[in-house]
Amino acid sequence: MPARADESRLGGTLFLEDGTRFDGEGFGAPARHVGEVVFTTGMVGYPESLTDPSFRGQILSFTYPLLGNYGIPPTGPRASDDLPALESGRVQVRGLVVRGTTRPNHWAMGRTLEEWLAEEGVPGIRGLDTRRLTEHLRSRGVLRGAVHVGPESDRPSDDELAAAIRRAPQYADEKLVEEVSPRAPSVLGTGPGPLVAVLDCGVKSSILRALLARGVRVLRLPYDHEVPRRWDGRRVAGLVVGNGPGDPAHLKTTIEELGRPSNRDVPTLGICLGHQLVALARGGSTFKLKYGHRGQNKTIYFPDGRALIVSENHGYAVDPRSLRGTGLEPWATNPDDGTLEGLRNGTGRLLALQGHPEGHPGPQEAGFVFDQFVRRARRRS
Amino acid sequence: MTPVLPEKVIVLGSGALKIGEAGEFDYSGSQCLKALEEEGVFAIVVNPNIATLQTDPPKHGKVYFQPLVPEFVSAILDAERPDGILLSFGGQTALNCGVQLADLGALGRTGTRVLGTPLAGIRATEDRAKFVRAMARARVPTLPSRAVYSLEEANAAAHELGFPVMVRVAFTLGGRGGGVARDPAELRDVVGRGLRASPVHQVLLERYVGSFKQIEYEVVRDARGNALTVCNMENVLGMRVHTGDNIVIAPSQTLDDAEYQRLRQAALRAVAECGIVGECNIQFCLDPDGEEYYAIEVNARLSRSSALASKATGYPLAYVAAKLALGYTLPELKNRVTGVTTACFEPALDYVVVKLPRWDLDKFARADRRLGPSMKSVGEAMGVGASFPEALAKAVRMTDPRADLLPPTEVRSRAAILADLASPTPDALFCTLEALRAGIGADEIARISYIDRWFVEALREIEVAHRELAAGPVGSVDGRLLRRAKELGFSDRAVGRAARLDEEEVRRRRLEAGIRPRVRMIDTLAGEWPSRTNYLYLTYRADADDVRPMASGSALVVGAGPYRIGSSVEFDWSTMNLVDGLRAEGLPGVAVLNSNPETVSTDYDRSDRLYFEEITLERVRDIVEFEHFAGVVTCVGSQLAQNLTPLLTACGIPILGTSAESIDTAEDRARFGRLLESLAIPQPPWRAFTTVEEASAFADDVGYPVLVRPSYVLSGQAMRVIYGRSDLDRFLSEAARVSPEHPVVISKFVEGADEIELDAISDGTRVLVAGVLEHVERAGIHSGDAIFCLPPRHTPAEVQRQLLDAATRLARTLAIRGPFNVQFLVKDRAYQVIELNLRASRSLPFLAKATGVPLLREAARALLGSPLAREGVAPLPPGRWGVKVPQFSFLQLVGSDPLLGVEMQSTGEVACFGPTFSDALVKALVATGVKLVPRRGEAFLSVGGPRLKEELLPIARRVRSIGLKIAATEDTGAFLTERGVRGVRILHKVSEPERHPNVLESLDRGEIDLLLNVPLSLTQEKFERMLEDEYVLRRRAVELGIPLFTSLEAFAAYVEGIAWHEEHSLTVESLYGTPPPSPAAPREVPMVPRKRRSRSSGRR
Repeated sequence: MPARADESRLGGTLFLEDGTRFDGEGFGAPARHVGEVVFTTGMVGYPESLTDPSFRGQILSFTYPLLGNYGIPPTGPRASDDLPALESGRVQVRGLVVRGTTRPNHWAMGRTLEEWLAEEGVPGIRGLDTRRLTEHLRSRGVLRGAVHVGPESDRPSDDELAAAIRRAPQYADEKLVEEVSPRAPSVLGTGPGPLVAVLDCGVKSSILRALLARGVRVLRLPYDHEVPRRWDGRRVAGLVVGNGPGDPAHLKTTIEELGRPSNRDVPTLGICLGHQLVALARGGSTFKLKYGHRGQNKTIYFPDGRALIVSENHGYAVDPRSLRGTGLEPWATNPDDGTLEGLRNGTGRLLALQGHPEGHPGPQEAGFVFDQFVRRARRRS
Repeated sequence: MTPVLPEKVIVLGSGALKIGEAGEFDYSGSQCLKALEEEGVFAIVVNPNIATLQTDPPKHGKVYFQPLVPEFVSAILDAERPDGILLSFGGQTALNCGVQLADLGALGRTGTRVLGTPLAGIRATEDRAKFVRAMARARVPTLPSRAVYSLEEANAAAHELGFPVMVRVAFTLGGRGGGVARDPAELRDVVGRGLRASPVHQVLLERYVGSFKQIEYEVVRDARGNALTVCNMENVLGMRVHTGDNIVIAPSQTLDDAEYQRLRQAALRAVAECGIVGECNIQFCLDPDGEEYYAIEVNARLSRSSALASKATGYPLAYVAAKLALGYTLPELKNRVTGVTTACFEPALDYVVVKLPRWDLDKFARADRRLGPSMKSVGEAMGVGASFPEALAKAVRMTDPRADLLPPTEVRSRAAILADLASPTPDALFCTLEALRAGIGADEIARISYIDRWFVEALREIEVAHRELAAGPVGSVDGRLLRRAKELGFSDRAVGRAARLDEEEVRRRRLEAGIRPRVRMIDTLAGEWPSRTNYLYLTYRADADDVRPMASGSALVVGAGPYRIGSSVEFDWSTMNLVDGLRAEGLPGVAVLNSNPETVSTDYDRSDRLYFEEITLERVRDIVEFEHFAGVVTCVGSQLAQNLTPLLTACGIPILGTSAESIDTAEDRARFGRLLESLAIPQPPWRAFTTVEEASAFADDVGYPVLVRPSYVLSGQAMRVIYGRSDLDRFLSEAARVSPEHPVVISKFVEGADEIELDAISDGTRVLVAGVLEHVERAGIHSGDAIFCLPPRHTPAEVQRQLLDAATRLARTLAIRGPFNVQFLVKDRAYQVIELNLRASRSLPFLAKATGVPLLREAARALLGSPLAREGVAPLPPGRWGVKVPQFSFLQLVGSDPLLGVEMQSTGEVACFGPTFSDALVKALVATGVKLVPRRGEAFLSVGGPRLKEELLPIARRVRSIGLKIAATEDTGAFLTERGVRGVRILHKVSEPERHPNVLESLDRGEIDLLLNVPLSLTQEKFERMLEDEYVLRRRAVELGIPLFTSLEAFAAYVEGIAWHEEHSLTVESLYGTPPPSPAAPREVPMVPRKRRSRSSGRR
């Protein structure tokens, strides 16, 4: 949508490390941030995406041209479970890039996208050709970039933005997980079900909710915490490693902890980053994808001919060849580029999916993995 | 893994285009055939729709132009013994026919397997009680409802559910016969109409949720249970308006992730529960203020929505559905757009599409303009853009190239606006803009109109931009504002209208400012993967083109736009046949421009490049300036494309085909008149007038009746036959405007003449005559509404030679290159030319199929400047008769008068072939849903005026001689009795309900099986009550499904057909590659019930 007069004074610029520049209109908070520029093809669920801790450290572009249609729902903790209503308690992206925003309307709306970004100190750029950006990232691969929102009359020069990118740390070197992982353990839920530990590298609220909805009690641990055998007198009957930002290979402590022999017997569910971490813990390796899988329309194939649509958000993947001799086997694959989308061990005690069975945003057909996992945990408790 | 494929399958089409079932099924059927051909499966198409592409001569298959009713299809099953049958590509018609075939045991007897969704699944979606149970099992809520069989039951149910209630009619399409009842009086009306329309005498009462959102999902599912939603869609006017009449946007805009996924998961559960294999559509209503939702219905077949979803996403739903029906699984299929990624994915869009219906309610006298649960539109267009306003503004121009999405210049009273917002009509969009302009708040508009405020806010952007443009100094426009207006979808003309600038000047300034639309791909995955698609649109919200121009020497073929009265699938047939012809002639590339999602021509792999765009001068110029086409073809896309010819020529864009100059000569009445004079070709006397007095004097001079064609119509129909002076005065003062700017053309109307059409192709010298078609009705019925007979029954060979000669001289004089059509009147062996169209006509597909001559291939040669490969008259196989019959949709248009006249009202057509005229006619009539009168049935005759009564006499005698009974009004009855027709039962008038037996009672009781009403042509006041009576009769006949004729000639032909059918069976033969059957074939298909059904059981 075009500018309204009172906001038209903000300019927005996205500058990529290869020198490509996109000028648009700024909104949200005037600020300059450097991050890895990625795109998602999801058409709904921007409040969920923007609060997904996996996007920490990234500048997110939406291929869908209209954003903000239904505003932002109340973002505070939900009374029922005290978890943030969205995927985390704040906007995680360093910048938002979109072709256009609209005037919202929705019964559940608390405030507008623009208001929310401004309050959260996150810059947004609209009015630029996001398809061209997508094609650029698709052919060049993921690039770092600077997003700048400031007075339109005073747009920064290419050199200034290039320098800002040079000064900023590399994406892979950033300690992003530390920023989104809790400081101390806590227990969620009061259900009678088994106690399940979650190594929280920036886990989405929806993953915790998917567990709580199945009656389990969740022991939420910092990403670098030891997984205890018992907690508060109850046995830890399962282990979940969820999503999170950054390069999985850098999370040495988590990988070591997961690889500890005593943890190998515990029923384990890996999701997204967790999928990569369990592979690494058993001797597998990961690599960075050219431009990642981010969207809600991804297909995964299972060996039995079943296919499911899943929501995905990842820039790294497990090398399926590296699984040889690890006791893990490929379980699901992406038919378009052959990348690994899921793995398990022979007994099924360990299950992992690269995509997001919890949805939010996106499909939830793969939610059966939670059921399988909880069934095993229940047997063990 | 390749499944075990059937060798031979039958594909049922959907028959003639009608409201609720239109060209989308040519698209789905054609994609299905493409999938079958790829697999080497022998495909037998059953579809009497002559104008479709799916009935063109197949490479590996057969085509039966036969009615889609069980009697005929089971005969085909017996003859062909196919392995399987596909029921989901021919709309509700095919689905119903398939269910009936199964019920009759015809599928079991012939060992024909239903491919795709099994019958149990079809029944679970068609039978309301089964559906409700299935949804409960799938944990998908449905609205509380009650099935009722009488008004008493309806009253009780409405009481229980609470007013307003929604009334739905079982087993009909397009919401036919249904409606909303707000109180007991409306309930009586709607339920009465619904019970009459229902074949099972049942209607469904349902809780009314007009204020809810209406959301649809298109789902594909394979036999293994893999399923996904290809697209979802939101109806801007909510539940209140039938989706066919709604403004639809894809994807949904106002749903958050929770809502989107809740409905999506419900869709997948519902579809799995019904056991769908292939494609289906599921419709939900969703509370705009909370989480409540209900499933409304599942369509276990391709649909209008699925065609839209295919075009919206680029995902070939029908093609995939056909492959799934053959046994493939989703992971086994590739995405045809990328060629590398899987078809097992959900498309991601980086644009939005807006579907806007095309209504032609003005063409229907007395039709109710209010939109509701019963569909009324005849076509649709789809705008693609980067925002809702951009896509919507495009769609507005696509449905009416003269319109722009701007607020009206004059704003009515607040009360009038609010009243219209509360009761939507086709003007709902403009009314919303008007409301915004009047300062009514978005919240109030949304509350009253049930249009989500998000859409209202988007329209406000347009209203604001319009206001800002208008506020600027005259003759100037700010660059930023201009860019913003263009991004909001304003045409140059709209910018000009607002800013008081000439359209051309706006174009010049914006190009100077570097503001031009960019070419973008529709690639199914938002640019995530490289794709090789040629499916394109233009947008102003982009700064680079996705493609490079086509090879030099390429051409653009302009399609026909949305289906509407007078232009429908036949022009898509011409477009695609010409594209194929141009490609066969070796053109380096052929691009298609069209805006109608219901077409085959917008299937992106049917041409080298597809522009899904507006058919306007501005857009064609944008495209040509990008592509540098060697030429543009405007002669196959109906009058819409033809109208561009002079404009494009004026811009220096080369036209492939007849010159703009020649077209102007044919279309300008005065120039054409002079041309005919100079060639000594006879024509009816005519003149153009700018005052009523002159017009009146001329009419007196040549004598009434006269045909009056105003150039400006205030309301209603544009053309009319006028029988007297007072009528002329009234018409010219009340319905039209006569002034120097708006002249009226008056010509002598020749009564009792035969009307003949001649279609031909010319290269400027040589002429290939496609055929000479005779109307069954006498002149006075629009050629689109007339029954056509091939070869002519009455026109002497000598006269035919004269017509050929006239056509040839016209072709040479005007240097016609390409297809043309001449309309003649013939009376007493003398002919007159009444019209010349220098473009493909409606009847070309009929002639191409009847003769087997590839007419458009010849046309392609002519357009490219090559000589025709053949000339003379395309030969009709000896012994073959072809009859084309129009399809009407009067039932759907509540209140419309089914009286035929000079303005076209039909929505589609069929043609059937046979060894005699009667054989072909009877089949074609049956194919349009005209029932055959049972033996010893009763015909009701009502004819106005002594002369017509005289002409009726021999026909009435013939009616008696074949054993039918006659009932008549007092006048007609007395006349017939007096002239010796025995046993005429007199029925009293509609307006005298106290007198019995009354005609309306008789109709309602099912005593009358056939109705002839030829009203008096005068509209003088003293006849008003009588004319009103006759209107009520015609309307009731339509509602009751009783065959109705409003011309003596068509009625006589029908009676002769019945007589012939008493003695002979109707032939069932495929058209191509078989010799015409002999008329002595044994009687295999008894269409006429053997026994008169008992009266006590009630008719319906």
